[in-house]
Amino acid sequence: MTGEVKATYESVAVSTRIRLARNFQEYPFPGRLEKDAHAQEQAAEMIRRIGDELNRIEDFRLYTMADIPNGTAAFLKERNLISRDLLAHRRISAVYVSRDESISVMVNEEDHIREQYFTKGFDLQRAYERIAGIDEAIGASTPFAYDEEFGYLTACPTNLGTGMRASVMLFLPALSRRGVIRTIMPILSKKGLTVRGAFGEGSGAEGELFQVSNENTLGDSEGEILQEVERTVSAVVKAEIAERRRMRVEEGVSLRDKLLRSYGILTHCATLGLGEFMALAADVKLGLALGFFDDEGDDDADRTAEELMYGMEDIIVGMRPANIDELNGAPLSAQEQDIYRAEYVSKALRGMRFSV
Amino acid sequence: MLCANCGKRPAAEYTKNKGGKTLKLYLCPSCYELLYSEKREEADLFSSYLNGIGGERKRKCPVCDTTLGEFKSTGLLGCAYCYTAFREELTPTIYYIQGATRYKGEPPKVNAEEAYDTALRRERLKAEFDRAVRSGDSARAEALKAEIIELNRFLDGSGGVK
Repeated sequence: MTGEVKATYESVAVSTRIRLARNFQEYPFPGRLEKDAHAQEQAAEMIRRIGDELNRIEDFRLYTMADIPNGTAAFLKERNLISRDLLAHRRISAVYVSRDESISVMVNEEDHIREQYFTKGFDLQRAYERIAGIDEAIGASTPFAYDEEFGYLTACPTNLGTGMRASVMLFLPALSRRGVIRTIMPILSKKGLTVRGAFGEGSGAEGELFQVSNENTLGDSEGEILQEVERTVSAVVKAEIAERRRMRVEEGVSLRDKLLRSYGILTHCATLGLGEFMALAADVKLGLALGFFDDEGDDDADRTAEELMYGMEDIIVGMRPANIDELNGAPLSAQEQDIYRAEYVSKALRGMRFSV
Repeated sequence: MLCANCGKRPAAEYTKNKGGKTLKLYLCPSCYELLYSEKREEADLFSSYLNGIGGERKRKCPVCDTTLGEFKSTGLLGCAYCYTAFREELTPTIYYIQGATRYKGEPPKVNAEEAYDTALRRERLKAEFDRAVRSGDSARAEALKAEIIELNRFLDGSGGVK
């Protein structure tokens, strides 16, 4: 066997996302606005006002939902830049996306404004600082709906108060394969955290990714919420790493065999479905995390195991159906997509120069 | 004390753990069963709770015309003023969802009203600035530019004309 089990946050915490829900004082909430005779004029004015403020701080690209093709909407959705609720109000909704895709500001989702900041790894503090800056910029010229008692007012009382949802995406193959996750879930919920599969329930393509976020938005300050999420996520990260160590000790060569075979299939296949790809990619990431793909004694390897894991994440997002169509420049049938995915993934993985 | 949900039957005290805090709930046994039966999905719980909240279904928000009945069926309010119009009915709902009813987060950074007025003034100055530039009145343009920079500083701490 080769390297050691990685004991870093980066080998478990894939990404951090914070979103704030805000509304303008003087317009009805989107669900109500949509029924108004002048909904589109009012939406256009909101979109313009937000854009004026945003473009003073950074260069944003605007997608007006009513004007973009379905393929582009699906592409944005797969990249988590927009939500299903934004598409539900397509006549009046829009999104501003920063060049590096770290910031997206949705207009007329369930609330008038949903600001989100996204970063790789585990960094709630920095994510909050960034999103607070965006929030201040948008709020500079616009009175947000705010109440002394309830805080920021939102269309649904589940987001009331801070309007903040702080979430961390975790890669938990050891906890989920060994059934430990079932005992952890109730503990998280007692701590006031919600756990969801990364790509929506029951899609069969979860890739052992779990999104952990705060459930309540009122009653604690932003700092207290962040602290609680951070503390709990740290505990889960440690539990996952401990379980990976046990897993490697207990399952040894048969586990290594399985993970290497998964790498073998990904680099040597002619057609690759999304579900199969997600499962095999999770194997390869686990192999990296367990140190199975380290070069013994090779200190000047180009990229660390964690960097290779992040590289895998990029490929995983890029190989979802609408993203493949975007890369290809034209829509493909499901079968053509599987062929495209097989070619792309095997080439990309070989280019990453794993030590196998 | 009457049940906080139906407001009709006498309440018993229940304790529940939510968000790491212990909540005291004053509900009658049948409402407790309705709201907290373990077999129910969370979504069901929320909607059954919404159906159970007190108040006249036809009561309207004077600003956006959303009725309390509509809120009960969708879980969504119509506008910011709904929170004022239905404050009494909403408070127990908010407590149920959030385990609290009092905001402890940061207040908005700037005085929004004042900032809004300032932003409007800046819009006007920018238009004037454009006119001055087009008509070649550079002294006037310079003066307007200085004023705009000052307002920019107030609004977001940055300078420069855009």
